[in-house]
Amino acid sequence: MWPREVYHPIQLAFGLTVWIVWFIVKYGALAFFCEQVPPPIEQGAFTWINTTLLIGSVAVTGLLLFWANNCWRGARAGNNQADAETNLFIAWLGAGINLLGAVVTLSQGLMSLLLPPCL
Amino acid sequence: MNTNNEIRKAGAVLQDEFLQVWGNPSGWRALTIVNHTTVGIRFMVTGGIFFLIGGLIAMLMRTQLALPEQDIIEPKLYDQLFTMHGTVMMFLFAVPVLEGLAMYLIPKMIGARDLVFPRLSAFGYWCYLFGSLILMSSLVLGIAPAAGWFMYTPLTNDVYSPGPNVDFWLLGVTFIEISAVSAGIELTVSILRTRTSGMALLHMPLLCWYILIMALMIVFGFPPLILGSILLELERAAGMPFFDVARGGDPILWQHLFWLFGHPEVYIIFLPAAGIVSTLLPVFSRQPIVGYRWIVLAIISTGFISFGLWVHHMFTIGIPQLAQAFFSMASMLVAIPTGIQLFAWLATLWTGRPVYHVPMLWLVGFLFIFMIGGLTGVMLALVPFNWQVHDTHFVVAHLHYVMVGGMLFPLIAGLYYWLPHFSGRMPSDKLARWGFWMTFVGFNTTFLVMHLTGLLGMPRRVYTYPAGLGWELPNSVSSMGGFIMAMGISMVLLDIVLHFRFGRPAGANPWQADTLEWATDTPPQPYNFISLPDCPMRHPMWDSPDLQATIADGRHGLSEIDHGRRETWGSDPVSGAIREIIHLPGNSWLPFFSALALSGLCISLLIRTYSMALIAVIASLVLLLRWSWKNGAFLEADSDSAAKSGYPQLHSRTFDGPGLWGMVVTLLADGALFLSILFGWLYLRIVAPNWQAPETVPLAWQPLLISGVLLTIATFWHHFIVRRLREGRDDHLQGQLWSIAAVGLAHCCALIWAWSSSSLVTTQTAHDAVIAVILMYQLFHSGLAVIMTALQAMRVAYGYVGKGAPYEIAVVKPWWLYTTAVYWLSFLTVILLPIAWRSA
Repeated sequence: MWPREVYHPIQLAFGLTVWIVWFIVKYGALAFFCEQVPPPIEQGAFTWINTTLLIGSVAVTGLLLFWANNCWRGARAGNNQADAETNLFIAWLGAGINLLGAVVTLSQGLMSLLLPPCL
Repeated sequence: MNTNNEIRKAGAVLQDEFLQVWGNPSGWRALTIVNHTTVGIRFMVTGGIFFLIGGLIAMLMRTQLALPEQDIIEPKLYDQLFTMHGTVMMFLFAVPVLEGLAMYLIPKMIGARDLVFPRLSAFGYWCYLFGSLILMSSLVLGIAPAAGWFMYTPLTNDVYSPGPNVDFWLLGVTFIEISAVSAGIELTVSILRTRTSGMALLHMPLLCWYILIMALMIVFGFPPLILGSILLELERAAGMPFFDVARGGDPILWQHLFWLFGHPEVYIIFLPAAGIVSTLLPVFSRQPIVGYRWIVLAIISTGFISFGLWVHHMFTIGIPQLAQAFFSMASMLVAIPTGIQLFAWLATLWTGRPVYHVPMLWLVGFLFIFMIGGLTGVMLALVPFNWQVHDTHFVVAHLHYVMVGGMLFPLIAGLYYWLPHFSGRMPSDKLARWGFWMTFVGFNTTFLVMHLTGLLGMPRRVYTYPAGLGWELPNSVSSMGGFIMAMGISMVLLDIVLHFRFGRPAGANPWQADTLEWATDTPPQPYNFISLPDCPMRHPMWDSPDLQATIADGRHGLSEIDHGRRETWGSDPVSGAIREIIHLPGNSWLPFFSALALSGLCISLLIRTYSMALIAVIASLVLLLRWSWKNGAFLEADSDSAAKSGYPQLHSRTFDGPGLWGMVVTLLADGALFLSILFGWLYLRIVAPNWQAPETVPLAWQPLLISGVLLTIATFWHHFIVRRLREGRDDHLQGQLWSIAAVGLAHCCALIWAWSSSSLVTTQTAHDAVIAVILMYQLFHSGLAVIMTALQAMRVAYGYVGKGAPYEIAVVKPWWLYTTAVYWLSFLTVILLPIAWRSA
């Protein structure tokens, strides 16, 4: 039996909401730290700001992938409730939305490997 | 046979009875109509007229640019023309016309009799009409805005744009946005809560998914621009320096606020148009859409990701490269959901048996044009390329490929598709095909070449250009193309006008479509359906071809009308199971006069006659409160709603009616506005080059703390009485409501005391100006909470509210919670954070 959460309609927005919140935090933190404590330009991309952003992005990606997997397994397992068809529809969409959130989070996060933060 | 005849006769009698309750008045009283069919058509016709005006402006500009060094139009007028062209097409045509189409179609597609807040629809229309007329009057008077449709500061401040030109834009567009947001709220709640019995989320027509996401995007996307417009108008009219670098502001803040709205706006326009494509393609391919779930996934993803792209409009302003890369990546990733939809459409065509009626021509044209627009979009997402072509005609060409391809072509496809629904007649096939080909050829001649003009370096928004730069030929070709396109659009219009008189009768469901809107009469009656069918399926008209007849005969649910109420089902947002009967309000003058009073406010602010503005505010408030009083627990409604066995209660007898959903969605929009204010505060604090904060916080924390505690007490008390109502207890309800209002009033007084004893000088620094805006925002919400609670106390005295009808008090509860949350969040950000910052 899967946790009921994977069939909850919140799944239709959850994964990408997590991404957008992380994106706001990341963009805000970048602006703040570049203004307050900018690392030397010569360090290139390998600065503490980029490292922190990358670790954060990987962590959020991991969470989103975990949730995507939960939803996917929930969608495959089926359930016996009256609204089974609707529940499976929601779980399937939840898997897709969490997965897409993970793809966007990681793609943006990997940029930290390439560019200096405050230039 | 006799039985069938009897059923038909009974159906005819029912139709007469329904018309008595739902019928539309004529003459002057037509201004009171709130029915979604009429309001939707009004939106579309008005938007269509503005499209023609915007098109005429474009023709004037293309005439001017056809040859080098022409002086047909002088530079100042040219500035007004390009500003108004963009403004009219974006704000007065694209969004309203799509909202109008959605308002017309959504209730019919989900098996409802009307939108859930019909008076709000009518109010939205009048706001749109009056706001548009105010804005357009500036063009007639020769004082139209002239700073480009995105109104960048400092060009739009009172130094570089003196006079009322910019004010027309700021006030007019804000007024129109009220209309857009009200439609967004209305559509969201209608789709979630008024679907017919059994229509679960997975059975919803795809257009409803598109409109749901569009509506939510409006709810979240428009508030940043509303805030930006308010701030810029406050800067111009009251000298509060939000965007003035010398006094601690930053013009880049305007760009952020504008594009936080502006980029989602592109998808707000594209999504409903894509919804039209997803609705029409299966019908003309004669098979269900391929990948329903994938398309829903794509719609939701597009809605979200489109909020993470706004900075790609600002790549040239000096943002750090890493931040640019975030937005560049998101801009490319948004192509994934769009790609999913494209492949689903192609697969539907591939696996179906397509028939190429006129709407299909426009759909194929859309696929071709939008794909080019999408590809140039990906090019523009690449930062170095973006730098090269920034502010050139390449961007203008890209924008038009996206907008015309992504919105106008599907819209016209939809117009041809639903024309028989609007009028009951078919258009002329020959005229329609001529119209399409001339528009298609004209469009591509104009804008394909314009990419080259941009790559050759011609900047946008120049009123003329010298000969010898290689720009002459492409400009001449573009101008010729523009006129060919105009002829094509004229033919489409001619076809539409003529079809009302000469079109052959369409009959029932002329395209053999699958969705419920074709189960109504064509043209439809104001009530849509005499009886509301169960719909646990995606293709009701394919699965039950006799649905139109059985609905008209009254063989499905909720076909009783002898009580004289306008009713529709209220259903579960996920499963579509019936929860309650929603009692809809009827025709009223209140929306018209409320919008009229607000337009009086808009005009008095425009001419800066503040005494008149005050009168208009009071008039608006009285009218809106009168509206809430009349709209309340429906004095005429009695307790007969359970007369038919198995029917649920009227929504006013429940705690979870549509009003609560409307309030929550309204607060989502409100929250987006508040977060935009906080964003502005933090942005200026961190990034503004000349931020000036005083040594100590200019507000005393003691009265603020007292004020906050009083507000929190009032909120908990209100929460407590709602809980008691849920338990069926309403003892001392009136007294408690009066007491809550009194505590709320004391909170307001303490807040005013804190403000009046502060050292804030709102015209001196951006710091003080932003705090003043936060205080005004708080006072507005707290004041309204007090007024609403006092009104509830009065309604208890009249017997309109109580344990038998607890609905309204439950609607007010989220407002109190929100007001309190905003208060403490503001306290944290404005008072505590700077202290922590300073001590760090």
